[in-house]
Amino acid sequence: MGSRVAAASGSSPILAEAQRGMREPPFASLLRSRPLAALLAGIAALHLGLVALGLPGWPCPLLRGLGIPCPGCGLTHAALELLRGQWRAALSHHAFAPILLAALGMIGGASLLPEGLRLSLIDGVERLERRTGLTTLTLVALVLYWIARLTFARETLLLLAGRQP
Amino acid sequence: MVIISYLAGIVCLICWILVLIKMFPAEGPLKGILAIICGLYAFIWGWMNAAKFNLRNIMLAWTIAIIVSVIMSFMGAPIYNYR
Repeated sequence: MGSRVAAASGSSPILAEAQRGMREPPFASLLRSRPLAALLAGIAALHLGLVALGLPGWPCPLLRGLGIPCPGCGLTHAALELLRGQWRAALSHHAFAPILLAALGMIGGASLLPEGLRLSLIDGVERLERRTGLTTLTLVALVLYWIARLTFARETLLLLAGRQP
Repeated sequence: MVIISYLAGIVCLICWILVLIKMFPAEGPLKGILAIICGLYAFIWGWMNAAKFNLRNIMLAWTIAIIVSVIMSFMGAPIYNYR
C-alpha cells in the first residue's frame, strides 16, 4: 500500500520501500513474519546442531569465496561454548554470542508462541528498538568489532578461519 | 575436487552479493547489514522474495553451490571453514 501511494505521488516505489525500511524497527519487523521467524529459528538450530557434532554447517559466503571472515564468523562456536558454560572460550571466538543467543531465543518465541504472547513479545521488542535504537547500535558495534579484529587480531582471526596469516 | 570446492565458494559469494544488491533498496540499510552479518538471513530472504525480485535463478545457483560445498566438506576438500 505504501508503494502504491508512493507511485501515485510520482516517487519511486523502491525508494518508498527503503524509506519504510529505515523507519520500521528491523528486528521487530523480522519477528512479525511467523514463517520467516520459524525458518530462521529452525535453520539456525540445525546449523548449531551440525557444528556441535563436528559436521559442516552453513557455509559463510565471504569466507568461502574470498577467505575473509565476515562479521558473524565465530558466533556459532562462541554460542556453543557459551551454552556449555565456557565463557572465556566463547569470548575468544566472538564477544557477541550472548546477544546472538538472546536474539535466537526471541526469534524462536516469535515462531512458536501463541498469538497473544507472540504479539506482546513483538510489541515489547518494537518499543525497545524505537526508544533505544538498540538494533542499530548492536549492528554498528558488530561491524566495528569486526574491523577491530581484522586490524588488531588479524592473525588469530585468520588462524581460526583456517587460513595462514 | 579442490577446484570444485573453490568454484562453489565463489558462486556462493556472487549469489550472496546479488541478493544484497536487491535487498538494500528493498529493506533498508539495517536489514542489509544484518544480511551481511548473517548470510543465512540473506539466503532465506532471497527465497521468500524470489518471485518478487526475480531472484529464482540466483537462489537456485546459490542452493546448488551450498550443496556442493557441503559435499566437498564431507569428501575432505581443503576449504576455509571457521574452526
